[in-house]
Amino acid sequence: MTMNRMLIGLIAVGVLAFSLPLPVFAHHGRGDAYDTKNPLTLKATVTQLLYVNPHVQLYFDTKDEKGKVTHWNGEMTDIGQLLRAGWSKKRFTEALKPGTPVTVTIQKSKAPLPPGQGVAVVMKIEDEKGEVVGLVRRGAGGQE
Amino acid sequence: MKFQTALLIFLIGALVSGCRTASSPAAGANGSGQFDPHDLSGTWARFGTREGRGVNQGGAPFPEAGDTGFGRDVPPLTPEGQKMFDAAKPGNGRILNSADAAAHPDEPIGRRRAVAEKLQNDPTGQCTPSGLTRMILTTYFAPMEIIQTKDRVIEHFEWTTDQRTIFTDGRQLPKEPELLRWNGFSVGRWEGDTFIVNSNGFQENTWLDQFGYPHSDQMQLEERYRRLSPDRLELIMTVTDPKVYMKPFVSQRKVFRLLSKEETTIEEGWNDLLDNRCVPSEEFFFNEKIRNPAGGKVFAAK
Repeated sequence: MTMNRMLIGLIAVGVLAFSLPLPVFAHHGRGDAYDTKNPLTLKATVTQLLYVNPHVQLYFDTKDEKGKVTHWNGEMTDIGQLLRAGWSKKRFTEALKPGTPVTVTIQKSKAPLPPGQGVAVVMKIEDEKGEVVGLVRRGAGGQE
Repeated sequence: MKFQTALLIFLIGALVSGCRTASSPAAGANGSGQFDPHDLSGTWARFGTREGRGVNQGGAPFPEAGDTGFGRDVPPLTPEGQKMFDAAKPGNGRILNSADAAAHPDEPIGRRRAVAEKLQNDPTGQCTPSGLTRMILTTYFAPMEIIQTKDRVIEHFEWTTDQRTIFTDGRQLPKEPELLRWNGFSVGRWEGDTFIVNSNGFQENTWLDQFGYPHSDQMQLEERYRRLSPDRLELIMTVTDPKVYMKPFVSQRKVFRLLSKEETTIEEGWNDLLDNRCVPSEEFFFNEKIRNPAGGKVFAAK
C-alpha cells in the first residue's frame, strides 16, 4: 500500500468513526412520526426539563414574528446516554432551568396538532453563548 | 509529502491513543494486558467511548460492536413463522415503502418495514419485557453487568433493570418446561475458552429484536461467549426454532467493550448500573405528552 492510499484509508476511518449516527430511539421506534428531512432551528425559552425515563423531555416555548406562542413537548435521548456523556441530572437541569433562552434544532412531528402546540424530537440545544448543551443527535435513528 | 507523513504519524498516534484509552488498566478487570479467558465478569456494552465519539456526541458504536438487530442472514420462514412475522408491526427500521427503504434492497425486509406509531404493536411499548435476545441487544445503548460465581453466571441488564441466570452447576435444561419465562431457562458450560449457554422455555410474545423478528415457545437459543482480550467480549447467538424458521438463525457477531469504573460511576464514589426500569406510569406520561400526539393522536383536552 502506498503512503497516499494509507493516508486516505486512515482519514476515511477517522471520518467514519466520527460520523456514525447516534442511535436515537433507544426504546422503540417512531416510524415516520417526525419530519426528519426538514429540521427547524428556533429561538426558544425553556419551560421545563424532565430528566426521566423512558426519555428525557424538554418543554419549551417559541414565538413567531407576530408574537404568537407555541408550546412544545420535546423528546430527547435516555438518561444513561446523557449521564455517560457527562451530563448529570444536576448539570443538565441547571443548564436548562425554566426561563433559559436557548436555540433548539428540532424535527417536528408530521401529525397535525391544535394551534399553539407542537411535538418534536430535539436534535440539538445551544445556550446563549452558542455552546451545545447535552448531546447532538444525527440521523433518523433506529435503522442500523 | 512531509505534511502527509506528519499527518499520518498524527493519525496513527491518535488512533493508538484512542485504543489505549479504551483498554486502559482501569478498564481491565484483571490488570493491564492480563486476563483470564474464563472470567467474564465486569460491565460490558456495545456503545463507543466518550473520548471516541467526541465532545457532545454520543452513542456511536465502536466498529466491531455489531448493529442493533439480531442478524441480517435471515433463514426462510415457515408458513406459521411468516404469519408471525407479518403480524409484527415495528417502529424501528427504514419506513415501509419509503425511498429510503427502496434505496437499500440488499437489506432483509424486516429492516425496511417500519410503520407509523398508530399502526405499531411493539410489545415493549406497554412495558412488556424485551425477551432475552432483544435484551442482550440493548447493549448497543445500555450496559450489561456479568456476575460470575462458582455455580452460576448472572447477566444484569441496565435497560429495564432485567436479569437472567445461567446455571453452571451441571444441571440439565428442563425437557418440557411448563412455566415459560421471559428470559427462559439457561445452563452454561466451558468448551476451551468458549462459554456456551443453552436456553429454552421462552414466552412466545416477545421479538428477537427491535425489527420484529418472531420466535415461538419452542425456541432454543445457543450463545457462545469468548473473551478476546482484557476489554473485549464476543458473542454469537443461534436461534433454533423449527416452528418459525426453516433453518437455525445465526446472529451477527456482537462484540462488547468492558466499561471503565469512570464510565459506570453514576454518583460520586458509586459505580453501578442505573435503575432504568420500564415503569407504566412513566411510559403512559411519555405517551400522553409526546408519543401519542407525535403519532397522530391529538392532545387530551385540558
